[in-house]
Amino acid sequence: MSDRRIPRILVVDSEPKWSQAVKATLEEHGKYYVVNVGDSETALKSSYGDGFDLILINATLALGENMPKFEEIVRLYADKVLVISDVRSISTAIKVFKMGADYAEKPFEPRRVIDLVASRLQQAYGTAS
Amino acid sequence: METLPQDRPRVLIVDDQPNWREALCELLDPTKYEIETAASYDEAKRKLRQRAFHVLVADQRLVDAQVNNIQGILLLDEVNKLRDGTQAIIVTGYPSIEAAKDALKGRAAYDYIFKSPEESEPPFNIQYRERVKEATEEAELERQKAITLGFSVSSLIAGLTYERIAETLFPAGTVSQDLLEGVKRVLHRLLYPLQPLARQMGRVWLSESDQTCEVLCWSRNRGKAALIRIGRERLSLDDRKPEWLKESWRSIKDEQFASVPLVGISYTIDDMMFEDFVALVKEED
Repeated sequence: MSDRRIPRILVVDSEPKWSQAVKATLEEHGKYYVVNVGDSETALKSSYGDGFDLILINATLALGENMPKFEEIVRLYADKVLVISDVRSISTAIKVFKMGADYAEKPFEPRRVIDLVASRLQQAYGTAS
Repeated sequence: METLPQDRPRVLIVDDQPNWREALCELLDPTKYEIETAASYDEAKRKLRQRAFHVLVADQRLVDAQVNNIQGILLLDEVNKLRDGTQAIIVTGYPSIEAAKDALKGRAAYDYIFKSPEESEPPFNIQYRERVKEATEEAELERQKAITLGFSVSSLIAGLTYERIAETLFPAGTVSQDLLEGVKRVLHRLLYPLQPLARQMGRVWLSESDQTCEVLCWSRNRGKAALIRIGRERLSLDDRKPEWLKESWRSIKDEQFASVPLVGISYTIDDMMFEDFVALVKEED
């Protein structure tokens, strides 16, 4: 994959500060290309057009009132969707797993997102890119 | 017993703790489900091999003293291997995100629910009943799909074609397309109520001299061995014990189906143990 192009990550979160820090961190070494959006409706629109390698979406946005949009994203991207939860919640994780997506706790420290993203992409493509 | 409707969806409940086993049974309506229980991984595995269940309800931890035991989740491998369309629900008093992921994503469980009432919303008993009901419907859909696709019959007569069977039953040169369709129809009609949705071990005998075809299979719907015989006349099929059937094995005529000029009869062999069946099928290989 790394031969093809740098991995594209879509970050869906309503906390712009966090998202921007994540974007800055991930793009720092030119390893990733990050698109930030603040709600799942916009996320769905972006996900139609751009082929993302990974979608990180905040649990509250994913499972909130716009859940049908989220379901559509999962239908399109399945395993490439990682739901990030602010608080550790088994019920949320189960909901997410049953829909076919994956679950992780939101890293408090944006730098830790790099590890998360790298390990996810490694799982998906067998390379840490 | 007699008043209960036949062919209710079957549920296998697996829990090492007797009180929970009982509770999980009692929460389900016995007029709607045929319920079996198992107290351990091994017992559950044995039961799964012998009968097809619509739903498996398994406690995650099947040895209570072992904190990391996830044998309930490991049973899913057995379920997936058997391909009966069985839907598995893992219940647990010790939920964890890792175990839930393993069950739901890794091994395709239908659901993962907490036993502890304070953690589940809606309450466990309501959630449990609802999920079993939905899982049953899902399993039934899977079955219908398998039947439509005709998976099991072709695997049961593996190595043989409908043509080959028809040529045994009818004089050379007389097998028409209609007869072929008849053979197929009789086999399907007799086999499906007995079983087989999935790839299934079985044995077919063709007898040129008697002009009969016999299929021995393990009826996963009934948990018993079953024999199907088809031929051109009822007389050639009735009251004649197949050579391989031990004197001691009692067979019971189940149902019959005629599609002129073909007759098919199915029997269940009431006292053949699963091990005997496996040995017999292997012996012939």
